[in-house]
Amino acid sequence: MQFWQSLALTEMDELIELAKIAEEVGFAGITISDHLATPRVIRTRYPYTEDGKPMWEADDDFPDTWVLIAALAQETTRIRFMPFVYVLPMRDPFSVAKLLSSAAVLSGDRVVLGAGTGWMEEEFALVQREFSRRGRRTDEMIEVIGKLLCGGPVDHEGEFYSFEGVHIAPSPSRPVEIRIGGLNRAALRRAARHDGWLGLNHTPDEIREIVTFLDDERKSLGRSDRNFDVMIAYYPAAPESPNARDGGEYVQFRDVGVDSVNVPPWRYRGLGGVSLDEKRRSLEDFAERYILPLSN
Amino acid sequence: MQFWQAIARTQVDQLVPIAQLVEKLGFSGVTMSDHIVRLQKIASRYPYSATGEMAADESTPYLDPWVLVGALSRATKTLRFMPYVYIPALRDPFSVAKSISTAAVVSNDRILIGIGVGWMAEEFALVERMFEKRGRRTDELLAVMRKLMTGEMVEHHGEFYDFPPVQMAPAPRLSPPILVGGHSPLALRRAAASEGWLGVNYDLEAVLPILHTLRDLRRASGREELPFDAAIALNTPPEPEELVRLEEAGVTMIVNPPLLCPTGEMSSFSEKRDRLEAYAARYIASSGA
Repeated sequence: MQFWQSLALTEMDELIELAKIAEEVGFAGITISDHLATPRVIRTRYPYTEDGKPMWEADDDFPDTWVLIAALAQETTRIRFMPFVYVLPMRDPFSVAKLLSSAAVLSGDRVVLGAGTGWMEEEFALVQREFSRRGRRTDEMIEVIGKLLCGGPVDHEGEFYSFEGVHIAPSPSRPVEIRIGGLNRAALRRAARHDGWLGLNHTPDEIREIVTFLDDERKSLGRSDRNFDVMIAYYPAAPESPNARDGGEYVQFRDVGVDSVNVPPWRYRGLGGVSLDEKRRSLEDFAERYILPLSN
Repeated sequence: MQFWQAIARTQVDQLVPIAQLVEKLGFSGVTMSDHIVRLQKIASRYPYSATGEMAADESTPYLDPWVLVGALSRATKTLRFMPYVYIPALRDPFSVAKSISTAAVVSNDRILIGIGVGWMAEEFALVERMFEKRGRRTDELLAVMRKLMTGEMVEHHGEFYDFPPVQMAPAPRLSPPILVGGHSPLALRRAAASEGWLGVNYDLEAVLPILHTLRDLRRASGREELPFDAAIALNTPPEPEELVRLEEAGVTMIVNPPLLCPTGEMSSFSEKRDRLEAYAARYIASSGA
């Protein structure tokens, strides 16, 4: 099992040190959250909380995904980076391809594109991009981005984008892995067409059902032989036995097909505002308790 | 006088060592270029060369300038960074403000924002941003960006952008200076109303009248006492007495062109190092920087 640490909603001046520590203690990657700006009034319902309200405040830091990845990559050597998730249809595929390829090249191919279709209509309005049809536009964007990242001149004729002889340089030396977030069937189908699915907080039973659905989809697409990563965002709620070094609750997720875990940021674990030293200890403790027993 | 080095079109694997070397040699900063895409067929005329064509081919690397700042700023300590030039009008003000704010924060405020209004109509079409009125849109976009970069809850109701109260974080501690490229009357007026002007590929005699115009514009708008930078890339390396004239005329930054000629696009790091050391010995050491 692979563990990624979310650096969302974490003190800006600690991010670099935390990425280094995470790499040192054995995390596979770092995830980053993407929001351009937070409106004072959000009418769209946030789909991932019970009350429909977002889990952050308007003045919380959301650093730019790609600029931050380049900075963190310069200070580390092995750990990977992924936005969890980057809202593709708020952008155009050319700008995304340029940002993504820049980060991929500068990090030595340590970037995964974690993508979603977005939910906050107000944020789409800010950047003057269409909110409806964003699922279909996301699909075509991924196709266009994939073509552009291969290097060389590209032609494309589609529903949303049509062009000839366009290329971006530099391009990454190998294809960038694409994993898709979202809970509905459309998102799961989209994930099955790419390299992974990004989930949130689920029970093992829910995961079993989702994995079956993903497997069936991938089989019907002839993609069963390809690598595919199922990730959840989960942290054991109940305090576990202090001496346990057996992987704890994560074992049951592994057994139903979870490959990776995005460990929620400190604030979501009731540890908002703890010092850098305490964060370091929590990463070391997590590694001992879960990463070592479950490393594969 | 500050000396800056252009690192546009440099091979990707040399960028970090070049940045570290120029910092060690006493350069003040490095400049980079901005193109989202390259096109096989470009009808637009490149305004900064005699032939109207860009000195770049399909494989010439153009990294996103702010992503590049993210990496280079963590490999250096004092070196500053400026796109020469960034085209905000190819983007929306939120994405622009977000990238630049993060670059300012991770670099500890070592950035300057060099901007232009853009010239390649085809690139605007691809990213679905209007090419017409790009000057006015750039002005409003920068005003919106400045608002967002205060980190406060802000709103805006203008000709091109209109939105209810929103807040963006992180915000930079200092507002990065904006320097404007181009030499049309409009570009010069825009520069005079900002924190600086960027000149591209000039001969000494052509640049002096422009600097006088800028001084007049700034005097007329009561901005004469405010800090103002003028950066220029000259066609030929300046002689010592020319440097004095430029400094007297208000030039604060000399940008050494990319290290491509005569060694070529694929020159090695050691070839570049030799040329940088020679340049630094001639200009930077003698200026007491």
